[in-house]
Amino acid sequence: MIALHAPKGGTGTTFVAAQVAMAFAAKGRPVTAIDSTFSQSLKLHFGVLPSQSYGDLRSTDSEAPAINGVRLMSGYRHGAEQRADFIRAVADRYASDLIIVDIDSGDRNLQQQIADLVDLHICVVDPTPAALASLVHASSAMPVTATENLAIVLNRLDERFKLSRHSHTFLSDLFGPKFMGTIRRDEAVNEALASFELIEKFAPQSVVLSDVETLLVTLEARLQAPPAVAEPNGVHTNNQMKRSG
Amino acid sequence: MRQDARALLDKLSQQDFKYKQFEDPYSDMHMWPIFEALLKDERIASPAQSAVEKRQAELAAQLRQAAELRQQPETDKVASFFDTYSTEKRPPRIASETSDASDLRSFLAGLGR
Repeated sequence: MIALHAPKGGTGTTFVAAQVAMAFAAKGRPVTAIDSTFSQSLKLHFGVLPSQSYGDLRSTDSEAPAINGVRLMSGYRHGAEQRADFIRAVADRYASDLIIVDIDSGDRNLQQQIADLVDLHICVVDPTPAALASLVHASSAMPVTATENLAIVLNRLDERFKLSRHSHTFLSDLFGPKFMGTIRRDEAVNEALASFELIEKFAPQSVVLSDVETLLVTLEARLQAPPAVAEPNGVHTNNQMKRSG
Repeated sequence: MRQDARALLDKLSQQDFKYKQFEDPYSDMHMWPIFEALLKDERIASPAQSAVEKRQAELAAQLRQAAELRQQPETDKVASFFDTYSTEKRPPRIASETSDASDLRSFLAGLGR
């Protein structure tokens, strides 16, 4: 199970969840994606209309629909405990699936309640000071850089801007092997969403798609390999930085 | 203009477009105060240990390992002995290779360069 949760909202966690789910499905893995957020916006990234509920999409045999190879489910329930119970039930029912869970930024309770089920927790940040500052809350374990199953993804990198480029360098150095990758900013993501289309159809040349592809390779390797040994203080070094220094 | 940019223009049947090659992210690195604040925050990374603290931690780990070995049955002890010489199970030499990295000051200095 991969859980995606960011301590700061608006960093594109849902977008990354959808892209990772579809990319794994495209590789032939059975994937179930659970939208446990109040806004229920994961479906938009699959080209589903806002007016369509996950229930509406269900076929007559009450199976969840598979869109672009991903079994899509709403996991939003009133209480965090109920949300966690639902996720447990889905994980039991689809035990051979890769389960992707999109968690609201404020929903730390759910994050903690399903911690025992989660193989990898992906924290999505964007290169903004607020998102960087929120990293202190990326994990309930301290220090954050030493959290075993944590992965960091930098979303909306814009190489035109200094802080954006520097944030990339800083995060990859700080988190070392826990830094899983970068997805560059592309307005085509918003335009595809506004058109209720998948990005691969709307903008097949988008850098986002190649970045997700690269991210997937790293994620697959990480899911197969045991976590890397961290330095005692959690600080890692970047070889390229060392060379340039 | 770089060759790959020229090839892209040819592919798009265009003569020119707004093009800029950005600095190498590693050469123009700047230590923003927010980076420094995060590095100094113990919730992000534990404070760097002094050489004495590091040695104490190593000794404590060695003592723990020795105590565990004493509690194991004889057959396990032999296996553990040979494990020490197994290349597959040898722990990474992180401590010696990146000892400077655990020091927050050198990390900061490295980023500032």
